[in-house]
Amino acid sequence: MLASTVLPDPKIRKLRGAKSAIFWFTFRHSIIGGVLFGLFAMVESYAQGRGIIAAFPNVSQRASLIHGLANNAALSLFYGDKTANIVSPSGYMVYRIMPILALVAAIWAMTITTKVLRGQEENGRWELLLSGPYSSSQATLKSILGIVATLGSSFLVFGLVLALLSSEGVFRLSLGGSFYFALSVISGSLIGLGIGAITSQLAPTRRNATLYAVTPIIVLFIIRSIANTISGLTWLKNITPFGWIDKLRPFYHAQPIWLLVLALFGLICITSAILLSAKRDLNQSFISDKDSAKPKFGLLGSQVGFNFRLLRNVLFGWMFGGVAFATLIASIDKTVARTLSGGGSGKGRLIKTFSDLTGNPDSRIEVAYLSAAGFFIVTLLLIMVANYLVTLKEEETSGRLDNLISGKLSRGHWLYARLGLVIGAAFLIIFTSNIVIWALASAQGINVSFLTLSFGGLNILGPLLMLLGLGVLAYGLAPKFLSIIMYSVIAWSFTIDIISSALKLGKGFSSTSLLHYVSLVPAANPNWRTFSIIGLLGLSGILLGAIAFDRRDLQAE
Amino acid sequence: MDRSAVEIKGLTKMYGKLAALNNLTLDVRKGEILGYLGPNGSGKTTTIRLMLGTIKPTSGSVSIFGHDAQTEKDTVHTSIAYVPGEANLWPSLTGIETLHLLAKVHGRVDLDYRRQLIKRFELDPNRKVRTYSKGNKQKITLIAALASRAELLILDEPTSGLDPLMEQAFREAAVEAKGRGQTIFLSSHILEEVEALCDRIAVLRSGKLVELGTLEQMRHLSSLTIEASFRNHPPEVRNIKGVSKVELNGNNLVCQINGPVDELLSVIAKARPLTLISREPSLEELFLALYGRQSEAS
Repeated sequence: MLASTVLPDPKIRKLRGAKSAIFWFTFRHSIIGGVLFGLFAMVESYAQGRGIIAAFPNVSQRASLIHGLANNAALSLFYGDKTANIVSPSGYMVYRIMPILALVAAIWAMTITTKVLRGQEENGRWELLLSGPYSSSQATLKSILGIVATLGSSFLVFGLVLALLSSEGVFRLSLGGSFYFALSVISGSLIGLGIGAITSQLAPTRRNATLYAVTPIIVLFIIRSIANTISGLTWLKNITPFGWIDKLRPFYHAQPIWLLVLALFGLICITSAILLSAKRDLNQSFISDKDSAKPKFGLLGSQVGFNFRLLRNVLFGWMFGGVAFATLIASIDKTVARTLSGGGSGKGRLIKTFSDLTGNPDSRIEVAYLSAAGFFIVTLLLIMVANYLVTLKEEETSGRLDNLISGKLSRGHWLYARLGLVIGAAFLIIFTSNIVIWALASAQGINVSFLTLSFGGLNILGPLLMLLGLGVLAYGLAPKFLSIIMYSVIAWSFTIDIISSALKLGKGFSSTSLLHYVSLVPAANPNWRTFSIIGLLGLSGILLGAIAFDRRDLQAE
Repeated sequence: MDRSAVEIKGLTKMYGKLAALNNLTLDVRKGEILGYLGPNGSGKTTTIRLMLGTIKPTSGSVSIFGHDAQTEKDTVHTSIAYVPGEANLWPSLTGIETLHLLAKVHGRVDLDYRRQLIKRFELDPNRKVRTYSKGNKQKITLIAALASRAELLILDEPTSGLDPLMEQAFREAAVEAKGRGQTIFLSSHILEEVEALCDRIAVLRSGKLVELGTLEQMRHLSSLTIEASFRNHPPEVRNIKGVSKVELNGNNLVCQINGPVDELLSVIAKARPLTLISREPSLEELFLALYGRQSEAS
């Protein structure tokens, strides 16, 4: 024990709980997001179960739909295990939403983890925490436990509200079943937490840690999708945590043993992260950028170039994601078509399913299938736009914007340059992905119009401009609520898109979803009139938001 | 010809019911260094942000070189350079890349002078910003502002994080800037720095300007300190008008006097002092006296 020269003073209160301060601090800062995510997952799930009953009240009706769906290799990319009892509403809910929600949970948990474990260190707050009675590894552990507690809250909210909602009425679930399903979905967050914890030790910045973590998460999901799609490769499910989640099978031959495997995976990742944290110095990383470099002034001459330089890795990451999915879908297009060629009545229903999706069915299933890529690309780009605007806000609140606009650069110039970059990036991602689809489809002898795919696909820009318009308006008028507005609009759009056809909601209702304005080419023809209206509304939002931004006080952290 | 670089008239900034700045009127003359003092939360940074146009006033106006800081921001910003109190820069850029970027943003740079400043401030410009200490990041914003040779430098606690040697380098650069005719608005907590550099001093408290003037003009705010030693017991001075804080230590007398000193000197002279020292208040003493008085008043 240290010999102290300070005399004991009865006025000094010893505070209890100093050892758990970091745990509570982390928990407190992530709990609201956790509860909201739990509610979001619950709404999406409940809408599936309730929706299938509303659309197909009889088992026989559902059975004929399911026959088409279950043989559909394309849908298996994103949907669940077709061996599940998807004739039942609960089984359909699992099949339809669990894998995607698990993926979203993984990405959500990963972003929280990198923010806590690397973001805090990057902005100097970690050092402050470490001045308390903690070693680096203890602080890492307690932070991770704080995140785990938040994930636990998500699970409780998700399971409890789902159980309450489905305790009566036509869509009924057991209490245990609801909680097991919620646990299965939220277990996806363990993947993001584990991988994010490791990359936070490896990467020098939060941005890099996020980038390094997204890649393995997407790859693990793609492996699971391939295993679901190609019958000879189902064994691949055993090597990816997303495959283990499929194997949990809530409501039908549940195999909770895979929860232990998932927990073990999380534990190994967390232990590795803690060990790595003990082996490095503060503000150091195992994969480090060079501390010094030869100056490169090329992109610093303009605001677009400067912003591209700052965000190029992130933008390339989004582009990689778009092109990777386009490649995946297009490369197995012919195989899918062949699989479905003997589908009989199932084929007809499947085309109907696609017709719901595209709004204009093409009689060739391989062409309709290619359109699924558009749905993924628009999802990816909506999230990219939301993330991008949040990054802009951080540029302002961190004080970096002050350095720029104290010179001759105006706020408007700064904002428009940045918006121009994200619109350009979205254009490039759509164009490149569609070119890849066209090239791979052509290589397989599938005749699709180059013009329709390459230029028609650009109609996705309409809803993106609309989201950007809403976002810039929020940024100009109420920057504090930017994140919540952006992600709420996206969540709302997906929810409405999912439930509108199932619940037979009116056109007025479905038109509140951004996805309502997407024409999925090549199966559907682009609606340029809608594109123009939506695009103009978006541009108006941008203009008004920019004016409001120019007139308001800059915000500080 | 207008002698003012900055004219602030009736400037008020409210955050809800809180007045961050309350009816501030102030001018900064061309070519002078104005020290801007005040305790934490007194409204110094709010004033600067209003001057830069990054926040809007509730009422009042700021004019810089005759142009309104809110409505003619673009024109105003061509003639100013700003050093924030906390240097928030882009971690992935190197020091020299950041200087290049800020030069582009300012639209003007003296490259030779920048090279000199990099040397004087002992900055390694090829390191990435994320590897810099707080002081080194501060050097970047300082070098960028000084090398812009802008007509008005707005410096918000520019030496926070700098070591004493670098503080000295900053003072030299500030004197050079003044020598070239540049105007400097210097918000600082380092009273010694303000005392050494500034032509005039403005003191802010709770959003209000409480004093403005040269150091000499402000000396009246505090007392003159008199120290005298005697062969015998010191004379009685407590009853003399304006005398306070009398301390007797053997044959030594220390006291302070506010107002005319003739009566005190007469009493001391009659007692035949061995030594007599009179000392004017330092800025720190003025500052403490001023805030002590304001605290008592409030």
